[in-house]
Amino acid sequence: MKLPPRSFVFLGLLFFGAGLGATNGDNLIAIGPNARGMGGLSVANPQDAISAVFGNPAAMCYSRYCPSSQVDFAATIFAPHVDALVSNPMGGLDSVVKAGSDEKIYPIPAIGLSIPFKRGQDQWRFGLAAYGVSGLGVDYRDTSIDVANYFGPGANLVAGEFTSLQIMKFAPAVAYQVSDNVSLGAALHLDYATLDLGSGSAPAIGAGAQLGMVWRPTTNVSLGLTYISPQEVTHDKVVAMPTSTGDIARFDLTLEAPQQFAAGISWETMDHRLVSGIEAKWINWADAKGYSDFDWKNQTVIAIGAQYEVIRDKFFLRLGYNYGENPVKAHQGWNGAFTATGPAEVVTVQGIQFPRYYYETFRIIGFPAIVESHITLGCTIALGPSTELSIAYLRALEATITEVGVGPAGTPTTLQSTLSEDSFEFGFAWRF
Amino acid sequence: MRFFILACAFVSATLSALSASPRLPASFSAEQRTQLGLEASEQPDFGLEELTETRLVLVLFDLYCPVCQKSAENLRQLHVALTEQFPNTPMLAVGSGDTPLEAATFARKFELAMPVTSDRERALASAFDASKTPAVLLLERASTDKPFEVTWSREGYFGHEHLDALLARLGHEQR
Repeated sequence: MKLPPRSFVFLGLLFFGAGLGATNGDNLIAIGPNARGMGGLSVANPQDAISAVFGNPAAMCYSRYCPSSQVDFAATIFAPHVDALVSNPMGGLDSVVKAGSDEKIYPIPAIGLSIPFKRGQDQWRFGLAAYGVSGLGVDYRDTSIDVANYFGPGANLVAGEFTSLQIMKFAPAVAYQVSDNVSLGAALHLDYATLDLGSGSAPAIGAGAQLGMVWRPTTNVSLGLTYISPQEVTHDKVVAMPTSTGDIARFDLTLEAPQQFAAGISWETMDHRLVSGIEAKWINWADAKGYSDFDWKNQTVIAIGAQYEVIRDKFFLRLGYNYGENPVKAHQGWNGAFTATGPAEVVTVQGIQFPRYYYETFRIIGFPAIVESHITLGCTIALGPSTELSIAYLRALEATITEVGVGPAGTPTTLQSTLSEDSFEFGFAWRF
Repeated sequence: MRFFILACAFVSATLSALSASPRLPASFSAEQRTQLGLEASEQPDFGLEELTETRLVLVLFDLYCPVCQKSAENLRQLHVALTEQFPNTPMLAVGSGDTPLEAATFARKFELAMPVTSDRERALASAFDASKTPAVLLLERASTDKPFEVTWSREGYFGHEHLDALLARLGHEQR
């Protein structure tokens, strides 16, 4: 059996470790403890500056009085728990190779600002937010999964023992109140991303836009719509492949944050103490470069949540649930065998040829962005008339993805990843 | 000597102008004029010092303020309660920063029966240090020749508990 050239092995390094981080595919369900404590609700009735700029730039004056300026500082402490399994890789042996990714804690900061254009009036507002949308990866180095030359010289057990993708977004926004109950908004998205596939970090920048609308047909009901454009970044020379002459060739890799549509409705009862809502978001992974190459499917996310003002102006409790079906398709029955003339199947990704086996290992083991259900809790405590502290906890319930195909040795092989997430949120808000 | 008298008169007039409250449009119905004690005035505008009562509930709102809109029903109930229980305590709603049309739109949309006017320059908000909306202020003065002072206030959403608190402050328990 002729094993594939060493060059193919490198291609398994999977940049999609970022998918571990952020819960709807590789997107955070929301930004800031208030929205994240309510299942990610932020389109129809955002409760702070950060979630307004992120969720719907048309949101106006979400404070307890108007006009108000507000600045929010927030941080997410993100802890994914990932395990991987490869069974029967060599055939003829009833073996299972299992490992847990190095459990790291990822801090993700955020800041948001919202102010009226003109002091004392609230028809025009300016918003600004900067936040991390991903700070994640997998790290199976020095584990049982990280076995070099497993199938022969240059043919490792899996492709992608280390990945790291970090994306920061900078979003200036403007909102205008068209009438007493309709507002429109727009935000510019400027992205800074770094990708490391084990051979050095490759930064890249991209841009896009977000549009939004909020309509309040009654004083108790708010409807929101928002659209985010695709945002493409290209990481230069981030994929390293040895050539037949022993040199290292480097290739670019393009990732495109997909376009998104979201709609939501919020209603307030009990003298406006109880705020409830439901939102739906459609994420177009299937047409986004990079994600479509690795066969992600579109995702519809449903979020429900509630906030109750226990003590007027002073103490709030939040609860929420968020569900989005795993966007990573599970392929079954693929042929990853290595023949005398090379891999039985090859998948071409942006001009780079992946042996089928390594294509599947980095999809499933290096890129398991598979969590679906999230339960969230949160609260806010007023520290004074103008400041408040918010905290939240988010639990992404364990999810598993399994594929069965033919491994490099020509025998049935199972690939499996399991992922769950814990996330702790902290925020400080100041109104002035 | 003549110059001195003229100078004193000028200074006195200036000081009087400075201490007078801002002039606001007086587009009220006859009933509303009666509530405010302005029935004898034919001026198109008025100042708070012209009101005949020593107590006034002043509401500052903004048409484009969602919190004001949410508070409107409770403000309407407040006016009903004041009319029934404290007829000598008028209520005046002022669109702070609004045009007369915007203020009238707010009143019509939320069916507010109290006198409503506008304060485009936010002069009242500055005078009573109430920059946020909605703001509900209880203004009292020792006599009609004294200026109003704020003796109770609520800035932010005006809920049932704030309505009860204000009525209790005025000497009546409700609920």
